[in-house]
Parts: sequence; structure tokens; C-alpha cells
Amino acid sequence: MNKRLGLFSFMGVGYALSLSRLLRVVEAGCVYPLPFVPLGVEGMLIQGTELVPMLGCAWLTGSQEAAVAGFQVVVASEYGAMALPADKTQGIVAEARGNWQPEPKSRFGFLTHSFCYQEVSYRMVNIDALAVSLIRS
Amino acid sequence: MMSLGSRRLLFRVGDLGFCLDLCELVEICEDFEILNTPRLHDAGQAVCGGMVFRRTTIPVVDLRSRLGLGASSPARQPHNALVLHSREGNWALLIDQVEGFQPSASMQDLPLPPLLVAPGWRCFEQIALYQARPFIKLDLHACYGGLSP
Repeated sequence: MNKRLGLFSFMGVGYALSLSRLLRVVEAGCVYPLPFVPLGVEGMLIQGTELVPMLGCAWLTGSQEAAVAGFQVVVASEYGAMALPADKTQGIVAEARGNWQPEPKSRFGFLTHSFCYQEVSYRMVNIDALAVSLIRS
Repeated sequence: MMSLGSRRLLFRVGDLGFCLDLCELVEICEDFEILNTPRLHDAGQAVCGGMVFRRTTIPVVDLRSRLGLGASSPARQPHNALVLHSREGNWALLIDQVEGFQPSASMQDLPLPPLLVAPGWRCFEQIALYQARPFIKLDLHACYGGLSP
């Protein structure tokens, strides 16, 4: 079966992730601070009776520039749910509709490839590798 | 009859909410001064001085400092604290303000998910939700008397 990807953007950069990992997209809600969290975690969201770690903007983008996310993309990893910041959601697309390019080697071990679709490039987020990067941070 | 242990005290330090079982609380002290008591001072345990409580000087632990959020305001300012008991005797925990008391049954305790846990020392393992707001369930033994960060 053809794999599908969820597309979103944040701070002018497009990101893609496997649709099987996408739990929901919600309008940005309160991020509660918490001491002793991993370096890349900004705080937590409360969604029903679930505590969801919120990824810090800098961990995803590498930029120290302050940014306010309009949306939170909640994803499932091997280590539990987490939320990523997003400005816009850009729909769902079948993997076969675009093509893949390897990412230039960077410090972001969880961004390994780019997905090019309609002349726009989206950095593919490996959700489990992202979770591991947080645990090791 | 409702026992003390089935109610919780909610309080705040900065932006953070905390809770503890009422059975662990001896007294809430407001607007007291911290004494410079060198024999009690222990930076590793975030003990910032002492206070006189029932004719005894007890250690005062700065929760803000214990959580790595910087030290509380200078010692001569009036402070609020919770007097708590432990096997070693009473001790005080500096806080910003008391938010209220709630039945334990109105709160839901949740374990920390792995992605919210950094390796190393911490003084809580659970978050209690009350009206969809999080309150850190403090492990008082870890705050004072347990291992240092």
C-alpha cells in the first residue's frame, strides 16, 4: 500500500512525517513549564488526561529565534506521544506523488531526507529518531 | 469522615503548581524572616537558613533553588513557607503562595511520560491534574533528606 505523508510548515520550513505517526493537529494551547525535562523539550500540553511533551522550537529548526506556533502537531513515537510546533498544515499526500532527496549531513539526525512535492521541499521527520534525540539530550 | 490524607494542599512557586497530601503538612507560615543559621546551611540540599517554629530553629529549604530555578529573594524579605515533618524532625519549604485545598479524589495522578524525564535527580515522579491544570506531586523525601542533585 502506498505510504502517505502529513505535511506542515514552521518558520518558513516545510516538514513531512509518516501519516501513521500523526495523531492529531490542534490549535496551539497552553504549554506548561516543568523542571528537569530533556533539553529539547519546552514543557507539556494537557490533552484530556494525557501529558504530552512539547518540542522546543529550537530543537526542530536549529534557530535561536523566538517563534510562536499557531498549531501543535501531536505525533506517536516509540517512547510516547509528543507535540511539534507548526505554523500551517499543508495536507496529506501519497509518497508516490513526490520524490526523495537525501538531506545534507546536519546535526539533526532525525531529518534524513527531503520530500519534494509540487516544487516545494519538505524535511522528513523521523519521529522515533527525534524521540531518541530528546532522551539523549 | 474525610481524613486529612484524602485532601491536598495546592501551592505555587513561580509559574509552577505543586501539591502535597495534607497529612504531610504541619503548618503554613506567612511573612516570616529567614535566619542566617550557619549550622543548618547546606547548599547541596538548598537549605538557605532557618526559622523559629515552636521554639525550635528548623531548616528552611528553598524550593525554587532545589528545582534549579535560581534562589528566592534575599533572606530579609518576608517569606511564605510550609512546615513539614520528616523522620528527622520538622523542616520548612519556601513557596510563593498557597492556592487552596482540594479533595484527593478530585485530582488525577499521572506518571511522567518518558519524554518528559531527563536523566538524573528529580523530586517528583507524577503530575496531578486538577480542572485540567497540572500540579507537580512533590516527593518531599527527595526535596529534603534524600540525595542531592
